[in-house]
Amino acid sequence: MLKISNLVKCYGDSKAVLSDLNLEVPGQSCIAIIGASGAGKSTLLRCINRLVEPTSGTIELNGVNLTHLQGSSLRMARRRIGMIFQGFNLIDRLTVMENVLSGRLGYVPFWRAALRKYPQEDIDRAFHLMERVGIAHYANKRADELSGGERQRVGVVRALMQEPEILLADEPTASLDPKTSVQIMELLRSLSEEYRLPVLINIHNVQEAKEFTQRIVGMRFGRIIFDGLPSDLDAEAMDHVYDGVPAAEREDAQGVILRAAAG
Amino acid sequence: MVSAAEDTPMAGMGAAHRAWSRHSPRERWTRYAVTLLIGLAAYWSIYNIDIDPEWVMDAPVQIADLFIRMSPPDMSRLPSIASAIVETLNIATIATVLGVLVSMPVAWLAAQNTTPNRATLWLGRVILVSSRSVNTIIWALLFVAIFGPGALAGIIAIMFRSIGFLGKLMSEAIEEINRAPIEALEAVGASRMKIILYGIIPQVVPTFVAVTILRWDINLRESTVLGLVGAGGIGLILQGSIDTFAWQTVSTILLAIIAMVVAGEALAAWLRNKVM
Repeated sequence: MLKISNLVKCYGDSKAVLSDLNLEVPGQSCIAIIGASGAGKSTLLRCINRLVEPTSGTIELNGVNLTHLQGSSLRMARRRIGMIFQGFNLIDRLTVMENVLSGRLGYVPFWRAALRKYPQEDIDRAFHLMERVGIAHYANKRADELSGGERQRVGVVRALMQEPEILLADEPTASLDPKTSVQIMELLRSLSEEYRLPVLINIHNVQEAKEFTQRIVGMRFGRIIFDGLPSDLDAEAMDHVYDGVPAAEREDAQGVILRAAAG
Repeated sequence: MVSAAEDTPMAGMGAAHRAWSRHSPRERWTRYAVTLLIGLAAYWSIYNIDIDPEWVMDAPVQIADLFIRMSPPDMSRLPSIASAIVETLNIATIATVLGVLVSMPVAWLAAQNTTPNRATLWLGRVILVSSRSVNTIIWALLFVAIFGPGALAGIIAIMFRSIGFLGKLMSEAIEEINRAPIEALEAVGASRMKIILYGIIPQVVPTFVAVTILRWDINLRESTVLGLVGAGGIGLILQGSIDTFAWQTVSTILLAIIAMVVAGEALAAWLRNKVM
């Protein structure tokens, strides 16, 4: 269970990006975090694994307070938190298998990492997961030879290799075409169920959020202003989350984008 | 039609003569002054280096004379020249390998994104600058004094000069890497050393290889002159042949150097294509 209490993040002296944010994620669930650009979604996710240092407040994951960990204890905590990125963040010149196994870097000793002598159970796990998402035949290909959707699957498998207690996905579908992006969302939802994982997904596509997640959190100005079932997210709530942009206009914009992507 | 033309605004043209020039008088005088200064400086420097006009006039005759004395190339000393060429090649190659090994940690210190702290950053930069600001021949003079004449002094000299060149270009490559994979590795819980291993090294390998080949190419040429100060290689017998006026041997040596440099450049080009 993830418990975020009174989280504040300020960059320098400027206005808080996150102000007094509270969020609880009990056990397995697939949660979408929506909100306009700059609402603080990305910062929230990065505070959880401390890629961004919170200014104050606490974040607890399964009883461990993450906010004051340093050095090796921080790395120990990070290896149980999987992260999936908008830009995939793979190491392009390494093979798919090496990228996947890099998910074990928090566990294996340095010499094993250097010589690529990973324990057999890691290799088995890697093949099993790659087969699960359909990229096993690419194991020895260089990561930059794959298409966007395939690259994001590598990113997902790398995160799962960590044996995570939670998955954080930062706009995982924003760099993908509509069809591939639906596939990735489907994959995240089913993995969440298979591995009994809480999955937090930052997402711009509200339609996908409603379709593939069980709970929607709406953020604005660094606060949570909506938290409920996808069916509760009506036009009024959407207006609230996305500020002055009227619903009709936004849907028009969405339609234009979809038509452009399809055509 | 004529009367209509007179009514147009164009008809008034030429009535007022307006002056125009590209430069204002002040600018013009400045330009004259600068030209004069450059001329004076050129005159002063030529006057100062004290060129003897007789030697200049004499030059074509001397060139012809030297050419006659140099031909045909004397092939009798070819075996010893060949072994000196091999030594030169060895000096360049060993020095490049050592230079790469030493410059990698220096590059890591001198790159802003990998250096442990500000002090180490400056340490790295000082090493790079001091290596680069001293010419190979001067390094060679220094190491001949320390290690005595021979190939060892030459190897160390070329290595010292290479560290600055390699380290500078490598540290720039490290600074230009893509941050995104590094962020992913941090999120995975990888330590600093593992991040270097998986995130940084794979990204800089192509540049490292290209820079190493380029430096080897340069070192091949630099190692031919090391012998002039006694630091081994082909330059040693070149110097000896010039001192004994064995001009026909000198021409053989020069041809051998040209052959080696051309072959080296071809090999470097082939390697570059192969790796990139």
